[in-house]
Amino acid sequence: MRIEGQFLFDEIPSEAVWAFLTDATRIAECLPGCEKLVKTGDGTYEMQMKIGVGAISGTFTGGIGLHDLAPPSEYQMTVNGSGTPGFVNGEGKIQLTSNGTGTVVQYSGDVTAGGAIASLGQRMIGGAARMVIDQFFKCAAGKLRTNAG
Amino acid sequence: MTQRYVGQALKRKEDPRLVSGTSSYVDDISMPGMLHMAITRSIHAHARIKRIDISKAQRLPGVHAVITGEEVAANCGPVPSAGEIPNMKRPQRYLLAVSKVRFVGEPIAAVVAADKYIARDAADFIEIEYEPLPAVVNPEKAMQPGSPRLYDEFSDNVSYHFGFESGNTEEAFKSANVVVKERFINQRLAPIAMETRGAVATLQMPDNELVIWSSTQIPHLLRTQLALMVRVPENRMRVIAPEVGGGFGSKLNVYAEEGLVAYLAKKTGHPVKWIESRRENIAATIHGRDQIDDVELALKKDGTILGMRVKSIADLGAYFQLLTPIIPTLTGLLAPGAYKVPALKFDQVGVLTNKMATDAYRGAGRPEATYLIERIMDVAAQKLKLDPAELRRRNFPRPNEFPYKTSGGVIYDSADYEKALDRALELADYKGLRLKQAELWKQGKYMGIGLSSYVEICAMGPSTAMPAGGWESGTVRIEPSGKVTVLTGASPHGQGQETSFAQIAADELGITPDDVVVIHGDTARIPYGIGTFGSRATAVGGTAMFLAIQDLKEKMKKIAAHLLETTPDKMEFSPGKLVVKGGSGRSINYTEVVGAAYMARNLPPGVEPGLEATRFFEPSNFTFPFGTHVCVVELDWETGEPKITKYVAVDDCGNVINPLLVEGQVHGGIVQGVAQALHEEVVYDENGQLLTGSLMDYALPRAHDFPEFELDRTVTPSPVNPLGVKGVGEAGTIGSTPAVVNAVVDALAPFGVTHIDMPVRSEKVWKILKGRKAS
Amino acid sequence: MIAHNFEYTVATSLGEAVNLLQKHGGRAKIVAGGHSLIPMMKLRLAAPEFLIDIGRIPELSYVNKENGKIRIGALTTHYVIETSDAVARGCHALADAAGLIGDVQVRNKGTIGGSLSHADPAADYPASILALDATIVALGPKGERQIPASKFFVDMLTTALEPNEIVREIQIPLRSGRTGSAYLKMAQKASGFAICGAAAVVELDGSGRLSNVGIGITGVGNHAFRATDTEKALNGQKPAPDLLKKACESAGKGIIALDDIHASANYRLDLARVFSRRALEAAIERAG
Repeated sequence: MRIEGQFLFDEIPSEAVWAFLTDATRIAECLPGCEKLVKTGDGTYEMQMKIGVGAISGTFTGGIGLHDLAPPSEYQMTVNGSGTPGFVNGEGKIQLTSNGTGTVVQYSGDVTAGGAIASLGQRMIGGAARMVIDQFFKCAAGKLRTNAG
Repeated sequence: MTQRYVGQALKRKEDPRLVSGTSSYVDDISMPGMLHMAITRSIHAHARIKRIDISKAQRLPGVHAVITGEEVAANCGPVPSAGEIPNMKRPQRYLLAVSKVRFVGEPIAAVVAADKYIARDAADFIEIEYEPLPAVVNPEKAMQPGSPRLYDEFSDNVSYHFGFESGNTEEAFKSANVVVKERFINQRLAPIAMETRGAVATLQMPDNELVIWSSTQIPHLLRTQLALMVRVPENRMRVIAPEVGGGFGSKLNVYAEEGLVAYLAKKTGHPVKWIESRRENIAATIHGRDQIDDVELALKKDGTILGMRVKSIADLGAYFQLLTPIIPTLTGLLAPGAYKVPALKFDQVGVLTNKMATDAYRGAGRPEATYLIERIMDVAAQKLKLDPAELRRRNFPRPNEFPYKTSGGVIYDSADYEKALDRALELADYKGLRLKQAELWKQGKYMGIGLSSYVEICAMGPSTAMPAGGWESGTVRIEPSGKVTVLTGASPHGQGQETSFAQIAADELGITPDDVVVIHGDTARIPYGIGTFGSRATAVGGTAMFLAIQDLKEKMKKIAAHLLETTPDKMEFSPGKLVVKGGSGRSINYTEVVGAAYMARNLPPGVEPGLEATRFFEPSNFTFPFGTHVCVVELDWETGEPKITKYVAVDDCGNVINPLLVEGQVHGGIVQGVAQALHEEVVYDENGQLLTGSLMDYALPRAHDFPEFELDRTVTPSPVNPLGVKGVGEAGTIGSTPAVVNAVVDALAPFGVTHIDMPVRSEKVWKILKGRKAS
Repeated sequence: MIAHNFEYTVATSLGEAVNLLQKHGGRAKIVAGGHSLIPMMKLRLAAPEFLIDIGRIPELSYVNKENGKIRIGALTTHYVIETSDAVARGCHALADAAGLIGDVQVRNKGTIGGSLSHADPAADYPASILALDATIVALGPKGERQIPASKFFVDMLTTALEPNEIVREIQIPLRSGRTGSAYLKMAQKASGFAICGAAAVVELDGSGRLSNVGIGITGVGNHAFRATDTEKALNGQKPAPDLLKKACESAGKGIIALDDIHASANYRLDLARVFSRRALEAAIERAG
């Protein structure tokens, strides 16, 4: 499933956004339900996440990989997680562009899911992914603003 | 013999126990010490299994055993499949996956535990490390060289080529005035019997007979196959089909889970039960259809058909179940439908993909054939600007041409296609509908009228044409009291044989249906039989019983004649007695003759005591029911939603034993066929993930989707069996699907639409209507 | 279809249920009719360790009309709402929605409080709740809180309820004069949930002009929303067919629509236009 969208980091320069989005510990701070994020190599991380969308919840273990980094404007990201409800894999491109004072982050990628998540939740996967991404960016913007202030 | 009960709409003898909930299904069976099985299934469509860790599951209190592929591969035979096509690649599959999985839902490990809750938890505790492989889901892609292969041992994913040509199609197409072509797709469907699969197995004292209860359509065939599978002598195994809550072909099979239950009962020494969940039912019970047919029809200007070419791709799924490769080939036999098609070329490839196996689902091969011929007839009528009813009429064989040999290679037994068409058009007020349609079009409202003049293949069938015997057994025992016990091998799963067979027996013997008990579904009580599928129960099983009754009647006539000091040829059966013909008034009570047979003090010379006979009926041909369905749809011009506003069906299933049962079959059949046309579809994504994993996403038909059906029958008895019956279990499903799609296309025809793919979801129609407005 | 293990407690009052929620935190879930949560538990998509059953608290099932409001207890079943005279007279769109939920068995067991708390993006009630300007009354550790419908539906399966709050009551303001409301939907063929559902409420003034128009749409986005642009375009206007059609063009404006095997995003957005217009037409007709 194709997922794309954008998020505006108002009044935050792209260098700051870049630094945040490519720093594992900062990602961990804002990834909803992230219980563990450990660096395992250059740009690769192991993680454990408890994702809950309403009453639906599941614990996933997997990894995050950042590659093809072209600071401060573009990088590729892979995410994979599996747990008892099945698995979710994502692969996509994140682009940062300055709009003067702030930064627009555009993301586009493919999400594939398997097991119960796919066979029972197909109607919700897209929306749920957008929701998690949105929560992540909102959290990041909040933290960056606090830092800046 | 006067018919007092045959032809009457008797209420089903089965129903009181069914509607009062006192009947017993597999899940009602409970035994001391019984364990419960749960299965861990693949979440990948195609992957190597790198590691399975069962230790956590084993440690869970209450778990008795956890088994994986290696163990069953060493101790059990493979899942059986029948049928042979030259040079066919036949994949082999064990009860649990060994080293590789090839569809989502494939069993990988089995757990048995003290209760079903522990078993389910333990199944979740099994850790499997996969190495995912690219999946192939689309059969056309799977056929291409370079496509990922399901089997390392096969050069490609094409399992078989099947084809034939009768007549000269090249000549036919050369001399044609008009050629129409279209691609028709029969989407993948899930049978969804109301009762999911289930089995219980136990070793029974005193001598450890392995007894298996299974929700099956074929208890005897299942026993033979399970005996081979779990390596138990067939005569030390007993299979019982208790009440079976529907099958639609999905229980005409031998499944891995049945083998697992049997093996685990043997291994643990405990009774073991497995009840399939609805999720498993959608993922791992056979699917139906999934066939792509490219069809070309050559006609003369006046609409006379000259020839037809069909190129067919059958998506078989990842493995073979019992009849997987056989079902799609039936499309070729029936491709000419109810028409004279002098030349036919049929070519089919069977392709392996990373999906559940396809197999027999209500209609099994005939809906595919009927859909392609009935659709292409409408495409041709549109092109020729002929009324679709008229084009059909011009190509029917006439009643005096039967038996009629078709270019599909079968011999149609008897029919009057035009009579059924005319009756349907009359009942629907076809002329009035066409006027109304024109009127509505002027108002910008889209109404369509669809016809389907189907013929189908029933009473399966001659053994030479069947993968595992096409005969059926029937035993009739007249007990000393005169009550009659019928044992039939045609084990029903909702059809109503206990009623219809009793009606036949009652009329033949001059007793009442209440005097007759029909027993089925237990290999320890019933002589070997084949089962109920392919609309065969009455035509083949009923005939076997009928023949056994004739044997007993002959014997009783001999005894009666002996007692009345006349000759057997002068005796005839009458209600409650045997009468001497010729109006002398001399007679002897039925019970007196029965008593004499058992007392055996005064039997004629050469006549043995007792009254029991068994016959095995081998049919000489299939039967070919037919009819015409008329469907009217109206389209919501803004949302595209199709709504069926009228449905007329005129079916001819030969002689009718019980019109209530026939109507029930027709109603259910129409509903299931319409559901294929409008709603149902098993959807896998491009990675082979099953997206319609529950009834929240797999759409079953609902009563409020339908208008009242207007039904009628014509009666053309079949010469193939002495009852003159043809069968009606699948006719509704076969006839209805094209009628509905034809109606939708008819409604859209003014916009140049010649075809729309199933299921006709509102959005597909909406897109057409939007496109039209845009242009 | 077998749930994970859980502990089950029957609460005798809503206050007790709130206390239990406080105690168990995110490991507990409230169950009432059980028609959203239990299926998810049986599919093992949800696995609460504690289930707090409020379904037996008798005083939470009611439909009252007082002080210009219709007050509906959280445990009122869909069937009761579907067949309530007060609801039919005061807020017909809610009765319409209740009557289109699931099947008879679901309507006999499912409750309005449960459905709203679950906030399925394709549930029927939210469209009517939004259009009717309802208020959701929640009970939490600090007492009652009133949440306007427009703030209640936050995202997919997510509401403004705090984890320790429970819906207690739904309040719908009664309108006077010539007013009418309606809810219509296209159901997804398998689940019966809305591919698109639209509710409309209108008032007509003495000169036949529309005012206080409310339009709620469900099934289209991550959560139900109000078609505010459409509402604005209608207020103060006479309801001519062309105007309704034009105004409804913007019914799904700015919404990222759901896209699944049953309906594409574009189709859903077009249905939002069609169904909001049809709901408006029905509401206007009911206003008389």
